[in-house]
Amino acid sequence: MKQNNLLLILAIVAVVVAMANAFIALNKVNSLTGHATEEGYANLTVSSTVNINFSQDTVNWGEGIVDVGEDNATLDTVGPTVTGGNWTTTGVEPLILENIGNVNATINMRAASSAQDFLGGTSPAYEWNFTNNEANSCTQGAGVTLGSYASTSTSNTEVCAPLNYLTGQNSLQIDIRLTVPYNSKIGSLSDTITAEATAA
Amino acid sequence: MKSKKVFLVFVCFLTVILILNMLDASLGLTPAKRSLNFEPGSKSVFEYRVNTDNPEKELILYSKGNLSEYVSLNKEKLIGGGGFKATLSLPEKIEKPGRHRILIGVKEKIDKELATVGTSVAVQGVIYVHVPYPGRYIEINNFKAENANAGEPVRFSFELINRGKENLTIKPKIEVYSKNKKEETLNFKTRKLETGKNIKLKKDLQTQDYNPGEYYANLIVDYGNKTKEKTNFRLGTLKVDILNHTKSIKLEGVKRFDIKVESKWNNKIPNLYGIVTFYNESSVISKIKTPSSTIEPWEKKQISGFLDTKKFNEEEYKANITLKYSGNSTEKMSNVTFIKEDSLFTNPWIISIISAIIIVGGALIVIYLRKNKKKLKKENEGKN
Repeated sequence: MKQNNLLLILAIVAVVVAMANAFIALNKVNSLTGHATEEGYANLTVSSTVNINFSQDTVNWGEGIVDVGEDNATLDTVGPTVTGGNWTTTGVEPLILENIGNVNATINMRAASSAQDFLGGTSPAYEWNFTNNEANSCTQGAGVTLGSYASTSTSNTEVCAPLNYLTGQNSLQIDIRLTVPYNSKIGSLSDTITAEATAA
Repeated sequence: MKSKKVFLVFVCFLTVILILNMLDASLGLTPAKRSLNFEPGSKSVFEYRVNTDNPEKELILYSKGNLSEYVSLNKEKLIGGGGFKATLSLPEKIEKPGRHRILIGVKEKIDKELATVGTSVAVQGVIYVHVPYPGRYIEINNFKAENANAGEPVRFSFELINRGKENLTIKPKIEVYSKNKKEETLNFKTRKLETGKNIKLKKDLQTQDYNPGEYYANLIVDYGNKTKEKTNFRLGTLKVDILNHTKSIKLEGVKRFDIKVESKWNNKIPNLYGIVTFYNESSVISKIKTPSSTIEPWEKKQISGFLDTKKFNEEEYKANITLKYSGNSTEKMSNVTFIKEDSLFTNPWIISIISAIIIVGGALIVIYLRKNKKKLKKENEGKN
């Protein structure tokens, strides 16, 4: 009986402490946010920023050769596929460029090398194909047709005019197709693709 | 050919590595846009911040474009981001009036010592310099009207900028039209607008007396001269139209029935679904219901249901298509034709091709048999 009384007293104390705590906490919350009795201004300036990101930044076919008897091999990130050669398609994905700023941006692209400088040999090809990775991201620029392969260019090519910045519609996919001749350059071949974003 | 084989064997020993390698590249420049009015001999300092996800990346700063010769940067490069200043010292006179664009850029430096070269990302902010036009010139920006439902106010908003050399008195008005009929004119106060200054204005159109539908509005600004701009807007009504539907269905198992619909309402409509009842002359043959979905303001979309074609014959049936939404409905009577699945032997092209093959094959067999017969005859004659 004595123990029961003690427990009852402890319970009452706990309830009182909890209520006091709740009261103090609510008072603090009220003083921070709602229940304002005076008008005030929240003044801030949001800066514009142009910001782009290659979220998928590598196309790597690894090592390989053109099949014996073939004039060339075609390596395509669409699929991805390799025909006429033994390069891997494992882990090969198209490049993804995103506008992560808060303004639309005109996107120009250029490759550092021509197909001949990059791959060498007889009739090499170095092509790109731009598509919306997310619907309504890119308004087709003057230099390309979205969804079609075209030879890369070493001068600025207007791809998107503009690339949107809104979440869910700000992502451009860049597929790459290489035609590697049997008599191409040998060794580690590489090139640079540059994306240039200008606030629109 | 021989040299080709030798080369290929050689290539087998020296593996070819093809890599388009782009190092992770994110680059940002703040602010993206600046704008100023030309003042002879003025000097402006702009502060920029550069963000990148690589703290060791070397970044090259530059300016280019029209009037970039008047820009000087306090730094040539940054490592892993940071700030810099661009000073624009304008000349006493710029001949060409209008908007000039200067680009302030930052680009990643490519490390040429790497075996594989990374991508370079470049971002460019813009400084617009507005050189006033001689005399009077008003620029209208962002003239727009918000769609609404009939009875609700339509808000018009726009910005006017005095791009001329003279201070002006402006008197804007908005004329509202349905098709080519002028419905109403909204007049604004007469105001003074100094050279290089701008003003943002707005006004609501009350639409209690307007019917739902398509409208347009002309903004006319009188400033001694006149300039005009047009915008469109819509007044909605709680209605979903049936634009199109499946017109013919093949008699084969379960088939999809599509209904293309368009919302005429300026708010979302939840729980939209369609009921399609198929009749012949005497009775109801089948009734299907599409799943419920939400349609966005003014959206065109397709809703679909499925029907079992077992109950149908190869003929035309009447279809009553009913859309149900928010206590309202839209109904349309139409015809749907049920057709037999294409068979190889009912396609005239296939029949023609098979016939041609049989005829040609038959002719070849006849020719072969005749030749063989003659050959045997000659052999027999030779033996005799």
